[in-house]
Amino acid sequence: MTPPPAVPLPDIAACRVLVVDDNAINCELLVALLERARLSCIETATDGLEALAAIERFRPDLVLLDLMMPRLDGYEVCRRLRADARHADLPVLVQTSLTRPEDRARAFAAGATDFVTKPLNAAELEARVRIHLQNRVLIRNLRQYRERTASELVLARSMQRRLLPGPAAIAAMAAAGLRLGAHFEPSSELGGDLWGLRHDDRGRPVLYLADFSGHGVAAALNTFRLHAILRGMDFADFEPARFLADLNRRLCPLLPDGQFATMLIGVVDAAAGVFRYASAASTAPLLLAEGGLRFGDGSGLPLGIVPEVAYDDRSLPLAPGSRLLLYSDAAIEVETGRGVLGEDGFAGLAAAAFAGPAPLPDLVARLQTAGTIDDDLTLLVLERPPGGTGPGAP
Amino acid sequence: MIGAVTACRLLVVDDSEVNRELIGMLLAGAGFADIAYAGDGETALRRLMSEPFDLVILDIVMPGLDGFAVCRRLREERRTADLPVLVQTALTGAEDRSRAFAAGATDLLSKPIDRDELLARVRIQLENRLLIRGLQGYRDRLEQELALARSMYDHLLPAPGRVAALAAAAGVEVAHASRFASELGGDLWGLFDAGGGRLGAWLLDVAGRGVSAALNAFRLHGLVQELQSLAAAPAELLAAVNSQAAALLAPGEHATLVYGVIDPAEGAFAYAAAAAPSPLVIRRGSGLLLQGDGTGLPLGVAAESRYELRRLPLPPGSGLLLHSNALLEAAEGDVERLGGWLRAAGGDPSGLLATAAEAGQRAGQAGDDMTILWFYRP
Repeated sequence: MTPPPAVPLPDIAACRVLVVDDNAINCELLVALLERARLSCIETATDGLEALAAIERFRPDLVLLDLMMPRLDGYEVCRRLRADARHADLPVLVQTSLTRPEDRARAFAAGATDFVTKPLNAAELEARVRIHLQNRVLIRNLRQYRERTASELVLARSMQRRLLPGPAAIAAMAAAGLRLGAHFEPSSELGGDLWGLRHDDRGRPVLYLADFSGHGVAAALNTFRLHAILRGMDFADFEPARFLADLNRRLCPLLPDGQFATMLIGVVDAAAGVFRYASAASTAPLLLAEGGLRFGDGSGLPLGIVPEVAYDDRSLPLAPGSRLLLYSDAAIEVETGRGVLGEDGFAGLAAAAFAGPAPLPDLVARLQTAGTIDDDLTLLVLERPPGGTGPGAP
Repeated sequence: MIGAVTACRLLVVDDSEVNRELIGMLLAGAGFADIAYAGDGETALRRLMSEPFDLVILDIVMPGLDGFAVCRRLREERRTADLPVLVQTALTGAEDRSRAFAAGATDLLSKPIDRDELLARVRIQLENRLLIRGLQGYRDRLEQELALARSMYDHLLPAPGRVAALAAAAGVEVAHASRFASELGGDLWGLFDAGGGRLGAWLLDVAGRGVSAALNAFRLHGLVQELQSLAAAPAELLAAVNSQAAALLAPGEHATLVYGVIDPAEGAFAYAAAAAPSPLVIRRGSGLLLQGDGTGLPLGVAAESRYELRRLPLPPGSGLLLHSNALLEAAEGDVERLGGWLRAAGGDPSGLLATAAEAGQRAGQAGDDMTILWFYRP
């Protein structure tokens, strides 16, 4: 008695089987056995060359292969199949009257998947055929699922990249006497981070970084909504706290319970030498200036929890020669093996990276070396070059 | 052997210590480092039920629980149902061999154990398992992500309570049905209170299917929702949605939208359309009465597009049908045929949807998202 399967088994009724044997009676016997196992798509071949031609034409899911045959033997058929990427994983069940262990070893070395000896045990043959075909169908179904979703996600990923400012917008920061560097890396195909760059009516750059709860497709859907809302909002008379409160009010009705976003948005006032910002539960902005390192204040209620929230206007000095780092929480939640990296650990890596000539790639490399990053990572570096503008990005 | 294979965890079950050691030695010689042993069936089962293993090499004849019984028990448990089990049998024991497969063995190893065969069979089973596990892991992760995304999509649609309240206020019956070609889709619809007992209704159909269509549907949904203040002015609402959509959609990304106001007092549906399928006036049980005009520039093509305000009569006893492109496509553009389906469907939009989906499949269509919204005036 076969026990009832604990998980449903794949349906193999439509599977194709190629029977290869130079003996007509053996062929008939095998076909009869397969038909008894309710398989109906069966073809036969009587030597190795015929078998290879039939495999190209008939596209079997399993080959029952004799070893000793005229023209081309079973070992060579196996070897040729394994040398061809299209057939590398085609199950080949060798059936032979050779019983010595070295014959079996030779068949496996040639690439056989499985081996049965003649005279055939009908129940064993049926069981082996069934197992190989079930595996084949399972793998094929899983591969089809992966191919279909992967192609959907490739398209979606390129759409998500297009939400972000392009190289031209980043380079145009030089007009405001600033340099901007950005790193954006979702933890899977799609992510929940979004950053952007706009300008107020006085031409001052407004920079934001948002990070939605969760990751993957669902979080990405939210970044698209946030992006659409931000497109429609007025940046003319930009005031950080007021703007963030307005954004929260618009986002609230759209987000289901349990989904929220953290965000930091601020305007660079180069004339006054400050970055004025408001924050909704964001990471603390990190300032690297001549006087050393300093964290700003990222506290505030996340977006999307309650519609009426007041945010604080805050500011950080942005003197020539200083750099401001905005980052998603993945940067401080790097799993180091001794707990998470934390703000201080991150600041240490940033300080070391910014002593060098290519700070942003260096910081990314240092974070990756520090441990496992299992969330979407975004890093933004805003630099006010010492004594005016300079070429290139930080 | 590849590293992932030799990193697998194996359990060797045999009541003979000599056999256990022999098998262990052969496996260790091939690079396997993580091998555990059990000397009887009970111990083996206990370990397999509580610890993760990648493959078992199982002897049949053992005191107490024999190999057949162990195998059967493993197959009954979800946790071990697909665990590769290699059963050791004598090559000549035809009956044992059949029994082993009947008990759920994945493969047999001939006794006395031959090194090459043992390693070949272990490698083939483990490679297979690793391949399947990798693919299953991918599918499980994606299914979870897409299920969450789907629940967010459902959250975008008007809640049943809100539909009922708006329908009651306008004195109409609302019914709807939709299906996706994939886990996610690009069809969305919604209702607005247009004031004065009037009901606003919109239906959006984003080109493409799957995740990318849903991403665009989500952002366009946000735009439409934010323009509720224009609920009484369909042409203006469409122009406003379009001007913002043009800034968001990339070249080649299009969407169609129809928005209109059902005014029971006037007995009319006033609407504007952006390349949408024609709104249809129907009578319950007797098919199609009138076909509206859905033409207009699709959303996102040109920021300055203007839309025309059009009207369809909607007397008592009639109904309005809004639908995504796939419905008429399934009828191969034949409105008469659609009328026949409508008569057959009676008052049931899911019946119409099923008929259309079936016809589309028969016509060899790839399958697109399909949404049907209908509004009846009693």
